[in-house]
Amino acid sequence: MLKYILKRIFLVFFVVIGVTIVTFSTMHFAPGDPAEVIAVARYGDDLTQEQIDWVRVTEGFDSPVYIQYLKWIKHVSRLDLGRSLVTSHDILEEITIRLPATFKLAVSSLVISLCIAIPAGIISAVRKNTIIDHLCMSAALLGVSIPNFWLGLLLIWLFSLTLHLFPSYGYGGCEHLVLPAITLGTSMAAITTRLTRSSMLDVLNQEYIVTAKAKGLDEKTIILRHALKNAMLPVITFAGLQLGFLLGGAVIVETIFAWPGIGKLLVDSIYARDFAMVQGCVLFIAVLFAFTNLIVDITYAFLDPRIRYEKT
Amino acid sequence: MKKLNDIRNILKEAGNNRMAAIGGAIVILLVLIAILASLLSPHDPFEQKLENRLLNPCFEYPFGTDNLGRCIFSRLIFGTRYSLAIGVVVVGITASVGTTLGIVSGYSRGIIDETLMRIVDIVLAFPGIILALVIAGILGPSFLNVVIAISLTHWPAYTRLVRGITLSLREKEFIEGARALRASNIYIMRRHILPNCINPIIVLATLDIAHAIIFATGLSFLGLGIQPPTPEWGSMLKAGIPYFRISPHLTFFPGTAIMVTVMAFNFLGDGLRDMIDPKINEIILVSE
Repeated sequence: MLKYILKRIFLVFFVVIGVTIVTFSTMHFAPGDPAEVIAVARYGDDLTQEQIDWVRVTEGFDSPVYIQYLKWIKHVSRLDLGRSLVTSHDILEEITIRLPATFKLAVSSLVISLCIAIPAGIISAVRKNTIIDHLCMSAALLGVSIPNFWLGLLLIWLFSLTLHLFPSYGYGGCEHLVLPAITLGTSMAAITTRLTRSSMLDVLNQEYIVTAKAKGLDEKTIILRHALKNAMLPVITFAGLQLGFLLGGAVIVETIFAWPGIGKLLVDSIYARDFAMVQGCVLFIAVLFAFTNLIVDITYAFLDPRIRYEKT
Repeated sequence: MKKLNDIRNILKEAGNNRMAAIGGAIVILLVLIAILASLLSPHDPFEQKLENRLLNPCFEYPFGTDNLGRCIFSRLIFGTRYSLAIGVVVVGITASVGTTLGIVSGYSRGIIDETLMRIVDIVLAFPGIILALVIAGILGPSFLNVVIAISLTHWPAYTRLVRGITLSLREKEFIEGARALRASNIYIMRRHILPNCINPIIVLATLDIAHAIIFATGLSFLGLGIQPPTPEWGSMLKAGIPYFRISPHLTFFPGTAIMVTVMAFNFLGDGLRDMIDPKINEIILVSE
């Protein structure tokens, strides 16, 4: 158990280093001279060669790549992600300001998706190959196939423009949260429903369920007390992964609904060619994702006695 | 009872096949539309007639016209080419690269395997569309860059899938037999391991085309993919948003086109999966 956890932690450490290298090189090998990009952001389009050279020297772009990387890592390890090229605000601060919005959206859409997916998945597994099962599975397939942006626009059209129930964009009260959360929640529910169904079917075929049936227990007890617990393991793991995924900002949904989260910050920085901010966001998102995955893995190990009691 | 089960199984099989059949039929139709686009479209997809702007669907313009007076129906027909091309090219690249790496990784094990798997971990550490978005954003918007961005993020799924299969195969007797006959490693990988991976790869690839199309239209929708005036569905959708209130048909038809195409590939992939081997279900589900 301890060995397993230590191994996971070591791997995450490794992944994080890899992530910093990928992030750094993506920005570094971007076409165009980074010094010029920064100079444009600082002094406007009307540049002299001296200004570009000045930026190159002061920002250290004239030193070898690995030195630049090590320098950057030194800053990053002190939680200093640098400053935005456009607004010159502190990048980490800018990201943490956006965190609550992203967090709110992530949690509420996860709740919506689980509320739909778990009952739907269980029912379709228990009533396999009936009308209900086929309906749920068709709905899930439809949900997997609808792109987020299209579902979001349809919801805006129906609930905002036609029925005037909810605002179509913005941030503030609960009414602003409804449409983006439903958009994200339903499309995630589609995958989770399928996972719940297949996991439940697996469990229902196990011998201990057959034993329970042979003992004459009624169906409700078998499903709720015996099958559900084991069937939920992969679902909960998957939900954890999805949460990590969502905390990285639902880029498209946040953009459609003008939701001021990390995803929108990332897209806006790409539009503004604010590469420092893009770099900071991507690094933050990936590291956050890696750590949520770690937590999910460890939780899974605790929940699953097969791993918990492993002696190795 | 047994008979009842048999009938049920047959019905289920038929149901699955029907799903694959519907998906396959739509895919073939889409391919035909893409090939015959210039014959099928009633208007030039680029031709602007400003006096006809924002027309509702009518006899001459079945899906209406956009803000520049272009025929939406014709633009959608030409748009089929871009989405299908991106899906097929991306999957062609990722499936062949990912599979090769997966076989090499699983077969050689040791340091090569360890290195490749850590690289896979690192790529998968970037959630969803983020990495593709940033790559496309940095390289600048174009067809080629969209393909590069999506390919770079999609190959690990194949590597993981194929590696898993290879690991279980390499202990099998027929591989040992081949080795005893002094078959070269490359020969074993190509003639004995690859054929056993093909079925799951086909399923994953079919579903991946759907995924790549969602990614590509999503990138265009954000303005980081294929640019207007190219009649690409995602960018048409984006261009329709300012007119959403007065002329929803500008967004409705491209959105539906994306959904139908993605659904067709998902239907086909799901049907194939059930027909080929329901056991690979989980692997692919998780890799989505």
